[in-house]
Amino acid sequence: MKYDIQKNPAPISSEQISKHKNFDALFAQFEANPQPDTEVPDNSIAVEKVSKLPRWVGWSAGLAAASIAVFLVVKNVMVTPQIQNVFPAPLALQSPIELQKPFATFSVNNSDTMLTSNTGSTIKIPAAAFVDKSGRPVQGKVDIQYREMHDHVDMFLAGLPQTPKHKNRQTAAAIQIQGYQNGEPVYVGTGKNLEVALRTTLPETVPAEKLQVFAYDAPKDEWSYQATDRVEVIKNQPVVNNANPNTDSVIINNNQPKVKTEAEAIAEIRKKYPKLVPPAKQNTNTEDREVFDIEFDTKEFPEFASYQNIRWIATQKDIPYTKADANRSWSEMAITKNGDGSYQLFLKDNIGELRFAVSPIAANKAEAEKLYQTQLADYEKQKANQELAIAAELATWRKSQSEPNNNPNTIGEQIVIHHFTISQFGLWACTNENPVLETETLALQNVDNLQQIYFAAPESRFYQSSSVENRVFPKKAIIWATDKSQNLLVGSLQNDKLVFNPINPSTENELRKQLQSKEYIQ
Amino acid sequence: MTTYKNSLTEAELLSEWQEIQTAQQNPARFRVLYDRYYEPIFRFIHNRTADEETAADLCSQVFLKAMQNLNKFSYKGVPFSAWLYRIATNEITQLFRRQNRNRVVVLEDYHTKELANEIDDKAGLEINIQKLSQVIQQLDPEEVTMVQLRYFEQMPFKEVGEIMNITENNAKVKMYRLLQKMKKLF
Repeated sequence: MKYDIQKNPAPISSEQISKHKNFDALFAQFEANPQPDTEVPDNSIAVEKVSKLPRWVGWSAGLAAASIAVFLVVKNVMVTPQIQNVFPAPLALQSPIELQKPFATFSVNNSDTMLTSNTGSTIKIPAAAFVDKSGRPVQGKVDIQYREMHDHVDMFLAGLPQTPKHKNRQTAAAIQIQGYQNGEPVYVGTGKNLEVALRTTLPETVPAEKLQVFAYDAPKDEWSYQATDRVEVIKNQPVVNNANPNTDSVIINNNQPKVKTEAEAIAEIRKKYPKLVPPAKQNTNTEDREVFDIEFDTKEFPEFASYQNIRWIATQKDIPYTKADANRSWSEMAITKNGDGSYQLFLKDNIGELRFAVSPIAANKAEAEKLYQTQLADYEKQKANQELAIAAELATWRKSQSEPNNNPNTIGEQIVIHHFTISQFGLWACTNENPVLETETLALQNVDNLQQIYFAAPESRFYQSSSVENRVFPKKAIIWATDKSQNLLVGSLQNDKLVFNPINPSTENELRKQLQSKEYIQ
Repeated sequence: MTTYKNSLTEAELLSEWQEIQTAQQNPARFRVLYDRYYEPIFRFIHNRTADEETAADLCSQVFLKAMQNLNKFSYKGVPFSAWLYRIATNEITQLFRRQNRNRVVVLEDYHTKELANEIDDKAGLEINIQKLSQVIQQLDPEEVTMVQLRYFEQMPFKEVGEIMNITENNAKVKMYRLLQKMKKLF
């Protein structure tokens, strides 16, 4: 017997597995031995094996290669180019907890492009803007990762470096932007600039005329001044101030500045609902046409997820596939979806390629038709319910636009656009250095296990992380912390001391609610 | 049709790449990846060793080697887990070589159903765990690995290729030929 086969062994539970899990022990082992004793394979993609050349061809090729190598050595001795790598590595900023501020991902080609984020911010990218690490222009698709920070929660979840070392900073908003091609970083070429119009809200307590644009210099861990922030005010919009600690916390800025028009409101509301995919109708007429069995991924084709044994049939009788082709060993087979909802089959081997239109067909026609009708009814019902929900939300929005704001506890908050130009990928912030803030000194309790303290004065857009020794905070700040196990704790004032209690938000919205409640005010 | 659990979207892959780069600069940040993949890697090893203590030891070895060699890792459009599975596969192979014993293959009833969906296209071909066990004994180690990764672990071809160090296309072709072979053996 080649193998020791074990049939239906007793399963192992997650609890049993977790007993063996111990990162601290692993880390201690790693620190004691950071270099490997044995090599492990890197994750380079395998290449196809090529057939061996006849020996005489290999010999003459080797001789030619040796000549070329000699030539290159001579050339390098005579001319030694000095290439200085001035490109900073992409930033790997992260929050200290599991929750992270996600990036939005865009793909751009080599032409003039305008990216628009879901907050209405735009980035204008000129053609041929990017180079690789050697400074050579890149061609083809580039993946852009982009995220915005509008308040202290965003900044915390994005790992924004803002400590006392960086001076007191009043940061109205920030962005992080990076580019990759096939997983390798790309950079903004010399003389190429990206024009950013960052749309956000700005409290009246933040002086727009004092805001400046800074870029984060990671190797030096410094913020470097770049330019004046050109702030364009769009709208004065009073919002509710959370001055009364006994009320539920109000999300003042959920990264979504209030929309201007009904069309924008409808678009924002629709984004919250999943896009419904209608079921695919099975083709049942199979006379005189070729049928194919093809493997495909149901994530890419969710309309077929419920069906068993999907096969594919040519949509026409006359296709470039004959009986003789059935004996060919195809090295590549793919089903692709066309823009009009039809499908195309692609076959390739060492002789050539074939392409023709196909449609799906189920093995059991009656069962497939019954399933399709059931799914179609479900889809129509879901669609109708979704439209009703959207209409209800729109009605609520319309009502909010017509009601006057009589709440006396309001501070002015404006919708603004920060206009600036960036010359490199990385982290860019619109900031006022050394703002004037009232502060207070607080005594802290149960600090022994704390790792880092964070605090924010949201109405002043002030955010900072500091060591656990810090005792000076802006007045009425929200204060939270992480402990040595990367757990999150929020501060609350008890008997004139700041006490930290654990919280465990599983989503950004839950965290946002916790960090806007100002629980420490009694 | 089988849906494959382990695929990540491109945005998720890039986000994970960010985490890896952070860990490359600060090894303490490897914890995020360790917490995410400890259980699946443990189960993967346990399904090939059928022993809890052995799986625990090998799992520690896999993650230690991953940490020690993390700077070798670069983004290639597959999840980080594929590299961990590859290290785990090598560790398991070396274990059986050192101990000079037969490789363990765990079969469960649902494995027969997954394979039957692919193979059973003619009436009367009954695939049960007993028959599957006999067919497995007639396969090469590489073929057994391919069946385990594709049908027992339900991985997409791209990850199967990454773990076995072959291209995605090659994985598809090999799998197609292997299914033809298994049909005849059943």
